[in-house]
Amino acid sequence: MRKIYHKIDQIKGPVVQLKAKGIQFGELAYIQLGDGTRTYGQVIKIDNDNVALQVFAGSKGISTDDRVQFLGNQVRLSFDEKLLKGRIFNGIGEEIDGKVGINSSVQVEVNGPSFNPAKRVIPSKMIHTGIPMIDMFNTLVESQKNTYI
Amino acid sequence: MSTNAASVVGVYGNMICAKFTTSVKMNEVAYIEISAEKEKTQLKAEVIRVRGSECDLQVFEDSRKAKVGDRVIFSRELLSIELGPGLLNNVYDGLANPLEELALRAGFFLKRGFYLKTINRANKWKFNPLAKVGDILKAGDCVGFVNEGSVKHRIMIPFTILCKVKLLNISSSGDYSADYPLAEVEDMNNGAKITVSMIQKWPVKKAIKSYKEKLLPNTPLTTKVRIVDALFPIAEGGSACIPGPFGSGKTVFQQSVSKFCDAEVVIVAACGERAGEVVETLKEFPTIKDPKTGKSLMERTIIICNTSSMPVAAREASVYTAVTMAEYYRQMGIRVLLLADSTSRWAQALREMSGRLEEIPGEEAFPAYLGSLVSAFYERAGLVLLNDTNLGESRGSVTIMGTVSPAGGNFEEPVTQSTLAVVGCFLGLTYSRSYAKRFPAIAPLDSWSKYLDIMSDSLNNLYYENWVSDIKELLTIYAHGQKIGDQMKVVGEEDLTLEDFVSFLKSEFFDSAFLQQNAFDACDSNPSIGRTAILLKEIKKVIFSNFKFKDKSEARDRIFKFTSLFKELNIVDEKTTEYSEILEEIRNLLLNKAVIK
Repeated sequence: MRKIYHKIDQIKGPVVQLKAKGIQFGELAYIQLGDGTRTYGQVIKIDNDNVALQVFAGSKGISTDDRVQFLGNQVRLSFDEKLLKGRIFNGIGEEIDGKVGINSSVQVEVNGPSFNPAKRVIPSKMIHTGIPMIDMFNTLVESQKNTYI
Repeated sequence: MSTNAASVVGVYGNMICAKFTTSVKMNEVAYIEISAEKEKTQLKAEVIRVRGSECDLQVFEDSRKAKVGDRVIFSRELLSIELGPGLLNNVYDGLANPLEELALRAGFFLKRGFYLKTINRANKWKFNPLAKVGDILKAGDCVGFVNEGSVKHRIMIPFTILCKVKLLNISSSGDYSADYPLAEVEDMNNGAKITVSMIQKWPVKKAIKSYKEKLLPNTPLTTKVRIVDALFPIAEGGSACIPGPFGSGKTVFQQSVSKFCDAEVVIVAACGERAGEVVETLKEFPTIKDPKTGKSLMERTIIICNTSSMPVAAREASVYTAVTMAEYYRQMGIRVLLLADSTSRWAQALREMSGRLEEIPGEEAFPAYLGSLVSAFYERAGLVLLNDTNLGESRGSVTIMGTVSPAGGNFEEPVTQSTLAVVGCFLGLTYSRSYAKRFPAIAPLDSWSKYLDIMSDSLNNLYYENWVSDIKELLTIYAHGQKIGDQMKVVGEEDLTLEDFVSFLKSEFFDSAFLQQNAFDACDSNPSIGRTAILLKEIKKVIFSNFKFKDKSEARDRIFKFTSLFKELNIVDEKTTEYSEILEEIRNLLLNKAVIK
């Protein structure tokens, strides 16, 4: 059973701070609000036993005596190629389309390692969009990054 | 491993605060052991601030899962890299881990806390001894050679040795691996015995100083880019700054310089650039043929690659890693060119750490000491006189060409400004010139080089007498003509006097015939010194000719005729008859001023 913390020391913008021990940097935590809703946050700073959490949904309505529980893992997503297609999720990977939840044994950390640049391939495959203005004059290429203003 | 029992007390992104019991060194390397991971990953970090019994470490990796109480192991060594044969023809990350080998051993994703030796121990090198037993040597003195591609690689007494040493024994010639103890020396001061192998270590943030003296950079580093060599020359051992706005042809320019410049070793530090762009350099270089040896350009190149997605602290280290390797090869008495791309991203890494340290921010939140760090980096460029006990005097140089990427082309920002304050040459690549298809897109009126005056004697020697004064005069004429061109945009061609119009045409002629160059043409991309000298002499004749035109249309036709002839001349091999025919035609046209063909 994981420890539940009842005392939040500081709330500043989307960041809440509380005293906790044995916490990993980047660990995921949830805050059980008084109205029964649950909101998630991630550890962004540890200073001795002071832990700062960045609350994804913002800190509005969080009370200093709300329950906080650390989950002991980084932000992860269940991954299954068949189950993910056609589904709708929110920013922290919870399904919001009312369909069955995804339970896969494959859990992927959101904050993964970077790719070895020596093994990259020069982008050369064109993406055909069917829009002449793009295909003819501002061709998109696979793996290229694009900005829309 | 030291007995310094230390542990993590705070984690602030890529900065970790640790409490220690005995002592720590500033800029010492430490490893943070991640207890939350089964394999106990050790993350490399560097001490960047000490306060009482606590120190702040910048972590060269993603610091997730670090916990209060995690063990910290201090190495008692400053951030150092291995130097030795096998550096060339390789791609490294900012901490000098070989990326190709990493991919083989750890997969295509970079694994946190997985470090490899910079120098491959499996390769055997043919060693030829030079020093003899009993020789009194000093740091940087050559004990023998190995052949590394086209470079005669000197195996040197470690630069870290402070006093003179006596050679006790040395291996005979033969094939050895890089870590084989080739020789043993005795410290003349305290009698300590030191083993010398092909590998030595050096702390990257310190400059290697095993040379006799630093010389004034007064010989040009020929790049074969005409506008650079003639108008804005770079000295061997000098430094230059290149702003690289998007689409200004920076990559082609860098490739062209790496290919044709007369440096024996080229080091490319791709620092904080997008991986998609770095990959171009990584994949292009091996396919480019070195015009001097006919082999792949990679054989005399080292690429240090820390892309924007890789940890930010390692990016800070990467430029130092690159310049240390450059200095190492310089110690062998050869010319090294370092392309640092881009120092702006490096400065951003400094800014990020400075922010974490909660230092008082300077302009645009860059640390207040940005200027001194930038100048300390460029200071490591230089032409040095080496004095080897056995080989005698020789010269080696590190030339640094640093790229800055000022956001929105704003040269007033701190990184560009502090760079411009220390470099000797500014090559202003601009988008507008590139858009006008005038390549290389170096703006002749914005760029400058202090070396044109410093090196005037050797430049005059290299090309012809009065070369520098001719260049200066032509640049003034060019500037005058461009000013008229600007006026013309406002008042129109009709309201210009014929004389002014001719000045404008001549200015454009100089631009097309001399300043512009085709980097993809076999002849035009690699003109010999003699050819450039002849070209300039002919151009001078055209520009100083007093033409009598009856109207603007005739003036245009005549000058355009010259422009097209010179453009043709530039892409023809100088040994062919076609070349002399075009040259003849130009000369005839000049003699016979009235005739239009």
